Order: sequence, then structure tokens, then C-alpha cells
Amino acid sequence: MTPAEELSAFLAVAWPAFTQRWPDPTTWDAKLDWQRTMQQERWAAPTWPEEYGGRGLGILEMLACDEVLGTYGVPVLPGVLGLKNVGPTLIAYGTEEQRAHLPRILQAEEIWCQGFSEPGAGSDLASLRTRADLDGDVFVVNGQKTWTSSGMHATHMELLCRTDADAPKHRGISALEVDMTSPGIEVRPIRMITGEAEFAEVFFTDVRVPVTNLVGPLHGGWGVATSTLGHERAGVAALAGRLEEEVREIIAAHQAPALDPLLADELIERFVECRVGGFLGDEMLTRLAAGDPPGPEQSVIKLMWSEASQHVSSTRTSLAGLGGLDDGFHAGASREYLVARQTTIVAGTTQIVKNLIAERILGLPRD
Amino acid sequence: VTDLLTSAAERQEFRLSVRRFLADRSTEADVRRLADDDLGYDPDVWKQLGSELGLLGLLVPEDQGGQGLTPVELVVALEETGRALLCAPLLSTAVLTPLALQGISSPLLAAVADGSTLVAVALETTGITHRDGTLTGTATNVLDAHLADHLIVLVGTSVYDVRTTDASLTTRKTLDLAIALSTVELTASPAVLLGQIDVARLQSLAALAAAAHLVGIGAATLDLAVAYAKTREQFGKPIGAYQGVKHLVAEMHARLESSRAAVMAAAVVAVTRPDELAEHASITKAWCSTAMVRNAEDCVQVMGGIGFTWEHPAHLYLRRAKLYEQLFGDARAHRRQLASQLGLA
Repeated sequence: MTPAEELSAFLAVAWPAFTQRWPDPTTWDAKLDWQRTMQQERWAAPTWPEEYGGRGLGILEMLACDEVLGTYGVPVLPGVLGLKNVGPTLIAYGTEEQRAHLPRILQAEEIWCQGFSEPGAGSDLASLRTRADLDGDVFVVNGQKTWTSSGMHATHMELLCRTDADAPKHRGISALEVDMTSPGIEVRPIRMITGEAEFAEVFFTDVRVPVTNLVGPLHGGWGVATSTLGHERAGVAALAGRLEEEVREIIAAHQAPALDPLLADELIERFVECRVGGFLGDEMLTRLAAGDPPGPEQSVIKLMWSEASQHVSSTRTSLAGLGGLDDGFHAGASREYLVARQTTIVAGTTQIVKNLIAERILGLPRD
Repeated sequence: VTDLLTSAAERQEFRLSVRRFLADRSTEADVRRLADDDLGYDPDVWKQLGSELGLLGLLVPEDQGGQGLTPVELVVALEETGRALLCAPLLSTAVLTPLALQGISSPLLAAVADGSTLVAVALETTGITHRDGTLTGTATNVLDAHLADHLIVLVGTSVYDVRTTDASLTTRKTLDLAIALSTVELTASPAVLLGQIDVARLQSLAALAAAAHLVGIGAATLDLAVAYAKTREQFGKPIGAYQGVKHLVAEMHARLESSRAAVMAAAVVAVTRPDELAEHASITKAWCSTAMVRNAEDCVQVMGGIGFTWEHPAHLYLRRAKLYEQLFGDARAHRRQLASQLGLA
């Protein structure tokens, strides 16, 4: 049995039982329960090595599993940042003591967030100013983080902070693991464009963090963060495939009555751009499967996927029309339209991505 | 699932051998010379395309004197001919002809493979009728008909062979200075029925072939733009350091990579999952037509004034791209087909 088939067999039993247990599966407690249910068969982080509670799956096997998850419409796991980003980083850089977090990440006993962006450090992340000053055997942290996903629920943070103010900006940064219940931490929700609060800003005032919480080398945090972001970016190829699936569903829902020809053509344009994005994603996955490291070509997929996402969300509002927005098949279309604004901003704005393509792939001079 | 005949490494080697050959025998000077030449191609180079590279018989079955290769190898070669703006009746004689004669045994194929005969294929035919071994009617936009010894004429799914001397041709130059299209009038012209073919497959592969050629143009124009952006200085630094230029060039790269991925995906589908070819070919031609013309246009833009001159090759690429954008269905035509395949029209 392939991993995807095993997962399918597992979900066939576990998912109906879960939905019976939780009439509203979108609540936080329900999501925590779902992650623990998944981990009973080591499905919370199946790409982690088996010795750490995963299944050691390769990226292609994981992609097949993601497709299975998509067909069941299961919720995103509440500990997703710990599972996808922090966990792999701790496996790569963590001390034995730090790796003790891994089972708790799997069981959703710990929810991790990443303290990267700051009010003054967005695209230029390396200019971050939250500082950690060594005082005996603790770092004393002061500063502010923003746009922290899962920040409102997090028990722990992977924090990027400046430990050497005199070094060049990339070489004075360290990564710390921080207990979010430490005195001096204040978390406030950020209300985003939709009115919902998925992000937080986090304030640090003389927060004391033991030196044993340093992840990776002192002043070597940039490399640690880049590794973490690398895990995040590998997911872009899969996103391209999911968008293509969404367009197919929209097309299937509009077979009759016949669409206005201009609207039909717009929808076919979406189909074409999403399919082409999917071809690029497939190509990248094939290279990753052959053992090539993730490279700058992911930037092209990010660029295309983000723009296609916005186009699809926009076409969808046109298809729904004034009267049909957020009704029936197009329920959630307005929210999707608003949320899609973030695709060209998160994980490298479109403008930064174009700089990367021009400078790192094509060799144009830096400005 | 059918396996591919060649490995990625073998295709890369093939690509480089075609590129080396064309770097020598399809230079900018050659392209400009042939644009002014009535024939529009170099007969010596034509023979060598067959004898040195095997391109003329690439799609011709081995038992009829060819290489017996597939669309996967074809798109590699056509990307290179596009990159070099090769002026030769390759698409008509060596691509459309063996595709139109798929599964048919004919001495024409051996004559195509050895370079002794030129053949054009009439894909756009309306109301051509067959009677007593003759055809009557009109075919439009027939590529390279004025050069061809034979015309392959499609009537429904039937494939006929007509001698060009038995037809009346009206030939027009196109935006591309070396390429001409003809209107072919058949008036009780003697015609030999060669067999029946899958016309949809022929049309899909014709569109895919044009898309592959477009990818080569998109690659060459990106190379030109990048080289210029690195060296041309204004306000004391290379123009490629300015984001306005940098972002144009980055978009060209994204369009090229996506177009190339689409062409290869469609070519692989043509071999391994032929049932899905029509959808893939239409997606690919719809995308590449628009994207690669944009690359040729943006190349002119990055060049600035020099790109608007006759002496600079940017317009040679733009002309070819603009012609191929429409050849075998433009983006709109292929989207219309997709709409109908997907039940939206």
C-alpha cells in the first residue's frame, strides 16, 4: 500500500468518527483533537523521520497525501507551523534537549509560531531590530514582532533577534526558542482585511530566555531561518496543483445554464494559467524527487501562483455576480477575494520575487 | 503508460547539437539574406538539416527512411530552430507532412526524409469536394505551398496528394519576411487518396509545434534583453540595476519557464496519454502565443531606441513571434476549443 492509500484508509474511518464527535469542526478544541487523532497513526508530520514520530515520506509521497486530505476537506492542523517549519528546523539544528519539543509539537501540546517580521523589517527581514542581550546564562529580549501567524494561540515561538548589533546585518542574528508564557511578553491580535484576526503582534519587554534555548550557532540565525523558509517554499508546488483543482470545480459548477461568452472566456483563461502553473509545479517536484535541492526557480512558481490566485478569486466574484456573491456554490467568494490580496505580499512580495529572479537567476546587478 | 524513447540527457545532447549547427548555419546574416531571397531558404542547409541532424526525417517512421522519433524530441529541435530563427520549410515538410501521413505508407515520406521533396499541408480547407480522382475547392493560409512539390490536402479525415503544378496559388508575404502563406485553388485537380487520419491529433500537434518554436523565440529575446540590461548604462549604472527594467526581464523569464514547461508537458502527453492531447495542446498554444509575443515585445522595450531599428535583430524575432502567435490557432481560438471541451460553450 502506498502512503496515500494508507492515509485514505485511515481517514475513511477516522474522519466520520471525528465529525460525529465535533458537530462544528472549526472550533479550536476540535482542531486540536483532529491533530491528535491524525498523530495516532503518525499523520501529523509524515515527512519527519520515523525516529521523531513521522513516517519519513518524500515530497512526492507527501503531495499524494495532500491530495487525499484535500478530497476529505479536513481542517489545517492547528500546529501547522511547528509541524511544517519549526519541527524540521529543530531536527536539523536543535540540541537533544530542544528536540524534546518534537513529540509535544506532534501532539498539539505545544503550538509554535515564528517571530520573524517586524514593523520595520518586512521584505528586508535581515534589518530586524528586536535585540537579545546576553546577561550571564540568559538572553534579555526587547522589541516587537508583527504579522505572527498563530500568534494568538502559540505556546512557543521561534524568534529571530539581533545578538550582535555591530556585525553586518545578516551575521548578527540568532534564533531562539521562546516560551510564550514568559514574563514581559504581550500578544495583541491584528485584525486583517477580512475583519478576522489570524495574525498577532508580539511585544517583548526584558524577556529572559535561557541560553540553552539558542537554536543553531550564536549569530547564525539567518541560516537557521533560511532553512525554515525553505521548508515553507517547497509547499508552493503543491499550492499550484490545488488552485488548478479549484478552477476545475468552478468549471464543473457552471456547465448549465450557459455562461455569458465573455465570462466563459475569462474562466478558460484562469484554467489555462492554473494548468500552466501546475506544469511548472510538477516539473519542480520531479526535480526535488530526483534529489535536487530547492533552488531559486521556486520564485517563478510563487510569482505565477500568487497572481493566478488573485485572478481566480476575482473571476469568481464576477461569476457569482451581485446577487450570487456568498450564496450557494459561491459561498465565501468575497472572503476569498479579500484573502487573495495577501498572496502577492506573504513569503516575499511580488516585487521582491522579481528582484530575486532578475538577480539570482538572470545575473542582473543589484540596485 | 508508454515510455519515452529518449532520456532527458539524450535530449539535452540532441538540443546542443542542433544549437551548434544552427549557430553556424542560421546566423543573423543568414536570416537577413533569406528574408530578401525569393526562395526564402538555403537548399544546402536544407540538405544538411537532414544529413547532419536527421531533422527532416525526425517524425518519419524508421521503415520509411526516417528517425521514428516523437513529439518529445520534436519540440526540443523546434525550440532551437525558433531560437535561431531558422528560415526553412521545416514545419510544413518535416513536421506537418509526417503528422498528416501518420499510419500511412507513402513514398513521399522517404522523399521528405532524404530532403529531395518539399511538401505543404493544407489544414484550412472549406468545401473542397472530391470527384472522379480530382479535388475542387479552396484551401487558405497554406504554409510554404509556393515552395512545395506536393500538397497534402485534408478533406474531412481523408488525406489527398495533389501536385502543386496542378493547383493555382496566390502567395502572400507575411509579417515574417522569410515566410509566405498561399491560397490554393483546386479546380478538378488530380488527387490521389493516401488514407484516413486523426485530424484532431494533427491539429493539436501542429499547434504544439508552433508553440515549441515560439519558446525558442522567447528564450532568444530574453537572452538579448538580459545581455543588454547588464551592459547598457544610463545615469551611471547598468539599466538592469533599475527595478523598472529588472522586473520586465524577470517577467520574461517567468513567461519563458512556464511556456517551456507547458510545451514539454504537452509533448509528453502526446506520447504517453494521447487521449489528453487536445486539452494539453490547446492550453499550451493559448499560453505560449500570448506569453512569447510578450517576450518579443518586451525585448524591444528593454532595448529602447536601438530595438526599434532595422539593424537590430529584435524585430526579426518579433515578426516571427507575431506570425506564429496566429499560426494553427491563436490564443482565443484555442480557448474557444477548451471552452467547448470543458462544457462551457
